[in-house]
Amino acid sequence: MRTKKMAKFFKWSLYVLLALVLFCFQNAPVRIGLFQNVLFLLPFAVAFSCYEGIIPSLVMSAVCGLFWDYSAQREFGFCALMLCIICVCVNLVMKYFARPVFVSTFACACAAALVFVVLDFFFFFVLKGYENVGALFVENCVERFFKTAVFSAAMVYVVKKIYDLSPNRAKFDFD
Amino acid sequence: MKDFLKGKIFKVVVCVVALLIGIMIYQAASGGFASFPEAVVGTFVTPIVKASASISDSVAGFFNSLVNAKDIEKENKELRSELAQAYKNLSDYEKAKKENEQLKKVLGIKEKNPDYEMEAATVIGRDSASAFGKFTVNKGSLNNIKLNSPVITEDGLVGVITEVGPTYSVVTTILDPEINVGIFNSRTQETGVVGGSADLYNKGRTKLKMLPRDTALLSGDIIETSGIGGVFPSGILVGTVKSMGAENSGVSMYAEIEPIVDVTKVSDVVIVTEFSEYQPPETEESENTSSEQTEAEE
Repeated sequence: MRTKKMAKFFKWSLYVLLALVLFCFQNAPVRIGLFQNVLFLLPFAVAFSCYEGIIPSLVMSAVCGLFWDYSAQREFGFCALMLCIICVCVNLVMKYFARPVFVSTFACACAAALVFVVLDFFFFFVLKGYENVGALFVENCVERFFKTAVFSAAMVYVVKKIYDLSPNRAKFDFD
Repeated sequence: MKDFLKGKIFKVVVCVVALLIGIMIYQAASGGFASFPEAVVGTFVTPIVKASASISDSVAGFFNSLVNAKDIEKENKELRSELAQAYKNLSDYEKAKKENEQLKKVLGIKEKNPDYEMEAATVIGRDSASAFGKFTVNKGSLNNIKLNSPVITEDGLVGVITEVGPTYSVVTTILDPEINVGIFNSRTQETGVVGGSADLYNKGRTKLKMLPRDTALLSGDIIETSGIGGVFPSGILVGTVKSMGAENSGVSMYAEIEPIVDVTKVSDVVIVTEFSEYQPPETEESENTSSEQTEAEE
């Protein structure tokens, strides 16, 4: 019993630590080469939602989103709202329509990145009426999506490993 | 005894003793340098002596550590605390050095513009998804930072404060289309407005808009703030003209401006919290007017 509690505490500590590290990466004043223009928190939140329950997903996505709102300087609450909706949807999909294996989790993370990038572009560039936003979409948003998708693969793997520390994890034959 | 003295063994003993006495006399006469016999013996014996010395050192060290464990532990603690203090001093030195460099920059700006009240700040956050290079600095309302305060470096204009928290502020850069800066070119005496553009952002350039069709601006011209509007003080360098083009409407021209400061990589900035009221830039007409007034007074 005590061992299970300790394992659970260790697992959640790892989640929190990983979220903080990713936030620091996302908000670092200086980034090197490939790490520029990557959304770090989004794949983590989505991968977390694929494996954990709906309430923890909601809380974690809200917290990650609020941290992101502070650094992204969009309308405060936008990132938190988007992440909450995306993560709850992903959690429901995993519960009723799919199973949290690597391929499906990675696909969800990529889809979430695409949805977020498009919505972000629409709300904060198109609606504001900037000129020649097409160039910005092609040069910034597409790059951001692809880099985030590549990062998602690593993040799904890491979150799966942390989830495996859980004493009550669901076991799938195809794991 | 007589047999011994007469035997071969005695003769051998005498020869060996004589040899050794000879070597001693020869060595004494060699003046400090190793004689041949000594060198030969030394060559063979030295490796053995080294091996035995290392073994004896190890053994002695082992026992020494046991015998003097307490003293060694005490010395270890003292050295660790001295090292920790040295690291702390080094860290304090680095902080003081950085603060000194920041203040030197502030002093440089202050000498050129004595009417400015300024606050040095450091960039603490720049989101990877931030639009148009927005970043966060480590000074806020507790440091007397106000909304719409200009942000500059010793080289030129960076942007303006668009959000103020207690201990942080958000800077919107001149690459952002929401920022419009009144500018002036001293060569052509023209004024205009500079603002960001979505298609120029990735080039790191901003746009000088609504230029007349007969504008005299040329590539390479330096533009600075005009001070019109009262948000930015006058005379701060903004950038250089890189290229000119016609607007889509065909009625006016625009110029691509390369900022003096690379706003996407700046790490230390200065926030101007107060400056004197708007002073129009000096033009030829104003200089003639002022000289006429001076003559009239005389």
